[in-house]
Amino acid sequence: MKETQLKDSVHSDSAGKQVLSRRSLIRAMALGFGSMTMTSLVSCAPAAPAAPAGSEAGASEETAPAQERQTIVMWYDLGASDAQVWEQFCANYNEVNEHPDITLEYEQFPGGEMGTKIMTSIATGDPPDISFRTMNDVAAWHDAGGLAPLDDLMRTVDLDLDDFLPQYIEWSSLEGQLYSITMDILPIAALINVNHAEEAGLDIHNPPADGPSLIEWSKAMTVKEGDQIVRSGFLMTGSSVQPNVVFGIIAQQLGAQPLNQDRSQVTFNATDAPVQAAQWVLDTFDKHEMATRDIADRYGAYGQQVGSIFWTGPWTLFGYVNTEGLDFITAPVSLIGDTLTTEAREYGLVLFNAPDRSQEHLLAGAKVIKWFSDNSMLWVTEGRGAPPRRSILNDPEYQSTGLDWQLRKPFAEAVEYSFFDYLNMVDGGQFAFYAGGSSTVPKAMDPVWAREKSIEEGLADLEQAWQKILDQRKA
Amino acid sequence: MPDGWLAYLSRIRYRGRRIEWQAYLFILPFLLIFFVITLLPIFFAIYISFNEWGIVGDPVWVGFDNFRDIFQDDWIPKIWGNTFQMAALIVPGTVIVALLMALWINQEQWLSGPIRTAFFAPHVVAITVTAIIWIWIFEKETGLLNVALYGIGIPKQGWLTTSQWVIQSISFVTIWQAVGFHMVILLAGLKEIPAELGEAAVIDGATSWQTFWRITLPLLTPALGLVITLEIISAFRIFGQVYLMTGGGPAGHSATIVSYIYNEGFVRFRLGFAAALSLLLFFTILFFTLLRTRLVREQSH
Repeated sequence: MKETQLKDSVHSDSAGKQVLSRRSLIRAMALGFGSMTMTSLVSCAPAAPAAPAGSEAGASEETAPAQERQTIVMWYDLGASDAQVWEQFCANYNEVNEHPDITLEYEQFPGGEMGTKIMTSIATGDPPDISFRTMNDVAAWHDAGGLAPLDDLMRTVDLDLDDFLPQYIEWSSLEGQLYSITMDILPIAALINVNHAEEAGLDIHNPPADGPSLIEWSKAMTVKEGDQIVRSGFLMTGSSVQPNVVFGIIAQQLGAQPLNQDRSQVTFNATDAPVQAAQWVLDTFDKHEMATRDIADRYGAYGQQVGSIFWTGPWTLFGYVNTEGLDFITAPVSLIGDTLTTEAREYGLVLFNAPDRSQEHLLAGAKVIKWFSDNSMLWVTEGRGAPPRRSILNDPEYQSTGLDWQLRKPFAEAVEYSFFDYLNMVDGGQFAFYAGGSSTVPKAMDPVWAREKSIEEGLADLEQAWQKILDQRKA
Repeated sequence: MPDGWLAYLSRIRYRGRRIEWQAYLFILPFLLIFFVITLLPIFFAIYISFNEWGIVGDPVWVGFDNFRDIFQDDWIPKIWGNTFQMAALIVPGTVIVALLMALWINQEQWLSGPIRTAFFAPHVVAITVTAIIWIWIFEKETGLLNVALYGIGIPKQGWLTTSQWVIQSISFVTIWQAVGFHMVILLAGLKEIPAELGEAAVIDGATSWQTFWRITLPLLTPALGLVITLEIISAFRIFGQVYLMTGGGPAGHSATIVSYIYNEGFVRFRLGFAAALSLLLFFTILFFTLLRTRLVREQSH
């Protein structure tokens, strides 16, 4: 039959050569296109689940294992040495095989695209099971209905929540429910270049603890050529993250409260603390001349030793010690206001929910999260941040493993007095002082650092922009 | 039965000519992809610009609210101004430099082949690499440019860190990267100009300038028109350099329309607002492209 059809579709031309008729060509192409479409549609259909490892081929359906094997997918967005440690951490989970019915699959994505990727995956109903990420996005994921509350699940899997410093439970909660298990805290502390301090005749064993001594140290380590600063005693940039995070820390040390208790009203400008803090930042450039605005890449600049004191996070330690071989010490940020506090970024594990996910699957995800939290010694020693759990903070192994404890100590101690930008839980990075680009804080305050606006104008703009975000959320 | 509808299809005529369905079948795969990944998103973006949508859930119709918000946003004049300043530098800068390079290489002098390759080379370098290289060249204390300038007594400048220089610096890098591609287009245009016309002009006593102005330039108009159009579109869409080199700083002095669209759309998930802004950008580019068509007519000489 097929042979007949084929013969019908082929005829001879005047020269006797066999050619394909136009009609046959159209038919053949239509059939071909139809087949391709069908093949594509079939391939889009969900594949049958793979047989559990160890199951025998040909085993009858009645003898299927009682407990279904769960595959838990984790996404993270770390880079460089952090990514290597985290990958090892994930590999350890599968190797230890504490939960034989669970397989962990882990994927790394560039930081820039991770937030967008997760949000779109929630929109399409197929988010990962777990992600390790800064808390900035948690509110957005929660609002999108993509997160599973963890309180009950963690109780079921016996994670000891009392072992956590209470603020990290509170700051991981939204509307009274826990949505993230904090893995590490990254407070801002000071890196001080030893050579610069010694050149300036400063006692490196007695780093600046308050505002006046910080200014004294910074001025002593600043190097000028003519009227140009070629080495900043206190490393700053003219805009973006650095001046804004310094401003945020000092404002909160001076007692500024960005929001009222129920987070419905902006109260940042209720006292003159923000004005004083902003003035302090401006004075580093213009009055004390201990910093230049002309630095674009703060990490690179400190590595090249064109800055002496750098307020930054523990993620910089590995690179400066192992790659660049810098000679530096670390110290707590100086007390410029009334209360010692510093900004911290918080990274945690969140569990995603989706309409097709069973309670059993969520429970498997919760077990994985518990395992990571219980075994986070590797991450908080070889990785970057400080632990939120008392049992790890008090464990002698915590101090003796990983990078030099003396370098890690100020960051670990800051866990007790850090303020996490809990406002991030309200609306992503829009309430973060540690922010660049066109986020709310730099948008309002960068023109102040560039002397294009007065401090009062900048703070008014900031308060107005924050209030608008709160009002929009309420609406 | 199938033969019935195939026979019907083969009889359909348009303006007296039989429709060649085979041709449409050949381009059908492309048309499907084009519809799904180009046309559909364009129409969807227009629809979304009248909605409030955070990617999850259903869009909520808000009419012209997003457009009203654009005109009330105090960041908009800044980014629009920055983008126009960059476009004003990049478009003429690229066209003039590309034209000069094409004219020079067209003379086929010694080493013109390697020089042509050298001019084109920046175009094939990834924007990320370009940005990293130029960040270091522009670095204030240790950057190659400032070290060289300092050597001849010129004070060091904050090329990427001061509002005074940041737009010029980013524009320069953009011109550096784009000029090779446009040079090739213009060179192709120059090669199309018959040599006899230039020879006849010389015999008639025309100077080099007269030959260029009266013969070369008019005959190069179609290629120039294409180059200007491409560069207008490219300049208004500038993003990669800004994102990588300055992040929009200092104090927003290098933030551009597309960087703001990215931030509002994919960081804050204000997709309606971002779509509305994209639509305004589209009409801006359309306006300048049509203006270009009026000013530099692609006449056939």
